[in-house]
Amino acid sequence: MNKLVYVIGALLILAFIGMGAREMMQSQSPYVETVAEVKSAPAGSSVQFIGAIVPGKAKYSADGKELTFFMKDKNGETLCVRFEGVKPQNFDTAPKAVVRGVYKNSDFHADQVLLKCPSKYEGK
Amino acid sequence: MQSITISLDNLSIYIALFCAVVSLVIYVISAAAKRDDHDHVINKIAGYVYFASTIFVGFASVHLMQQILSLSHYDVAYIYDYSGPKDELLYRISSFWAGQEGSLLLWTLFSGIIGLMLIRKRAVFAPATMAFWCSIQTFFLVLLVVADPFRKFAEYLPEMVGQGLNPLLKNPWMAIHPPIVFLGYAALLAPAAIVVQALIKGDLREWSNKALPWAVFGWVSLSAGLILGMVWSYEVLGWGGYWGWDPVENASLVPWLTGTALVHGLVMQRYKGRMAWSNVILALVTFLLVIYATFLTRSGALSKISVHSFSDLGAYAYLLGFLIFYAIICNDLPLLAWKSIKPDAKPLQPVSKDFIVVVGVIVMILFAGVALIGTSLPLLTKVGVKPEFYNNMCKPIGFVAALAILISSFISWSRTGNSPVSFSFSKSSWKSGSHVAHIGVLMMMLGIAFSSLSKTEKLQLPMGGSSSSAMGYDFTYVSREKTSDTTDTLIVWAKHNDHQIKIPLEIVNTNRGMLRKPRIFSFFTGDLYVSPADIKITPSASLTKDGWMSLPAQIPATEAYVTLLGMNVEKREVTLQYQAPGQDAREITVAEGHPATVGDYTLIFDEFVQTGEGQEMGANAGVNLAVEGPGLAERAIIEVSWKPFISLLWIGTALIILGGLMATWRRFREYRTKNYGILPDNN
Repeated sequence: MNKLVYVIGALLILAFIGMGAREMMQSQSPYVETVAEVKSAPAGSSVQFIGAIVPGKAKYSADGKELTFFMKDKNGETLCVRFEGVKPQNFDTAPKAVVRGVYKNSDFHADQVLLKCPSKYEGK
Repeated sequence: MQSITISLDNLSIYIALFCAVVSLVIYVISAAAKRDDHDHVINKIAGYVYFASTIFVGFASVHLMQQILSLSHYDVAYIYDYSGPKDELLYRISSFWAGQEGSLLLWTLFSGIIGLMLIRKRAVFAPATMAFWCSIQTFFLVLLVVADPFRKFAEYLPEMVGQGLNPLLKNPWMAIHPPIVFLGYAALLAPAAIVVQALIKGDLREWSNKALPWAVFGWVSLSAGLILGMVWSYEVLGWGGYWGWDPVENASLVPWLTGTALVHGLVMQRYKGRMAWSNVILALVTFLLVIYATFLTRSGALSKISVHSFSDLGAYAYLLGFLIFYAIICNDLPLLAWKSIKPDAKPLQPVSKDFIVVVGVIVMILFAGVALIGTSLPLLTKVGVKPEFYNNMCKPIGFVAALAILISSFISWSRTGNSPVSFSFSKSSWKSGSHVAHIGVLMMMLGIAFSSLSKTEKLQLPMGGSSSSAMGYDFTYVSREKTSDTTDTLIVWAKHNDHQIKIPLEIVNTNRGMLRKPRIFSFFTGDLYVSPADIKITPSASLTKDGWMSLPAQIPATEAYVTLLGMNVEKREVTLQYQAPGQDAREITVAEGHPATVGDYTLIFDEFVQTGEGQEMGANAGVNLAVEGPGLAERAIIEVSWKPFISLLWIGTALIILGGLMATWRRFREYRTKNYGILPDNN
């Protein structure tokens, strides 16, 4: 009885680890720092682009559902980001952002926009 | 890296560092010579030197606070960055720990004071424990020398006035969140320091009783800190969530989970004599994970990919060095006591209290592993995981944990606790902190499960115009008021049958960006969460050839359509087709800066939109058009969410803190009175 419990327990833990490996493969999203890398990512795969927000260009679409803004990489190449969400707090002053999503039809369709806070942790 | 200079301001940090090193050396000598007696002269001397070190950390803290409150020391970079003359007193005080340097100082002060308590307690005191503690103090003080809170600007102009605290942090929850987290971190280091002595002596029987109060206290403090962070995220950030699996959040979640496992293990060791060896590992691992969290968030290691991590203040090498140093120590220490380990006396019987608690501990360790691997992955591979990874992994974890809590609530630590289930809980056990906290955990889990059912919709509302409905309410944007120099308040009404709510949504413009404050209305069945997204003074449309918008694009709130026919980038003009109902289509050219009038509307060519700067206008280039005319009122874009039964989550977290405090009080009292309530037939 006791041994059986240990065996079942070990099997469950192994199953959990296996599930973890599978989930990790499915939900991975590499970090990239250039627009060229964003564009060369396999079609439909998620990447996280780290770049600077081009200031003052963010706009909501006519029906108010989609936010569009531009980001620039260190080579000066820009990327048009479309995001069906709300501008995060501090968007207008954030020097940098991390956008996660899929590159499709020459735009970046983001499902998450995270900002580098200029002041929460960082000093000048 | 900033240059390291000694001034009158930071002198006390240097003295504190010197004292910490001296006391470290004396305690090491004392431990090596086995002078374990609390009253031995060598320990007395080391104690006084340690006391002096803590006093000087206190001096530095008081000095920094005094400079912040004096409103005149903006030549100090830290004070300039986080404090300002217009801030309220509470936020001037909390600016002390708003940044990296000040929060380090606060943590050093807390762990300094806990060290004094470890010295004072005759039974806890041991030179090896204190040597370990002094090494931690030395570690923090070296960091404070590198990340100097008193660093002055090389060039300071008298007109430079403090920037003020980031408006996002101006929230009572956020004001007290950092001290509580650091108090928790500092207290969770104590079990590791206590186990060091036990390992050196090779006696693992007594240390767990000494460590338990500190583990419980550190646990409840860190719990409260994490929960305050969740409340702040929900109430202030406006995205409607409370946990985002951000590296900084995860970095503190991982030691919290191992700390939770440690608390359970220590209780198990007290009542059943089990898990002695696991507790040694858990105490050391929790300690290492706290240091690792410090490394992750403060070294700048994740600064490229995490939005919340501190930038590198030149401490990367130090932090990594300390981490490796402690990793080696914590790896080797247990070997000292290898011989003294005895396997658990009685084998585990399935579905006994012991069994359930062991299952719970394993689940928490697995959870910690998931969060640790997910958070560390980008460090090693430049690949991150999406929140779905954590969310999916949490499902089996939550299921087993909930089951374990439910079953174990009905089994007491009875004398026959190792026999199969006897549902024999006594009524008095429901008064225990443990039960209160576990009920809280179950309620919190229910709240989390419900929050996966929450719904969100975005609405665009014309001012004084038609209403749109979402979540069973009709929303109308009534007016916009300038409620202060910096604040616009959008008055929105939500109507549901006869029930009306006035929703004032504030948009605050500060020198640190725009702050859009969400409003939350709590009902028995859930929260109505409304956050302002933007105000559009003139409606505008984006037109591109490949159709960002459906083409032809309809001018908002009108029957007219506009189609983009061509663009001339050099002349900076665009050709459009305008089609109003019942009229022939008209072709018009609009140049930048020259609005064109068609029918009742004015079309303003705003700007070209392109996806590659410096490139030819490609297929996906386009224009932004603004339109003015009758019926085109200012619009507000708001986001409306419904969060079903989210109050369960908050009530649950409150119960967790209440139960944790009850348990802390009980464990410290038991320790003082040496009345552990151990059941008679336990080994």
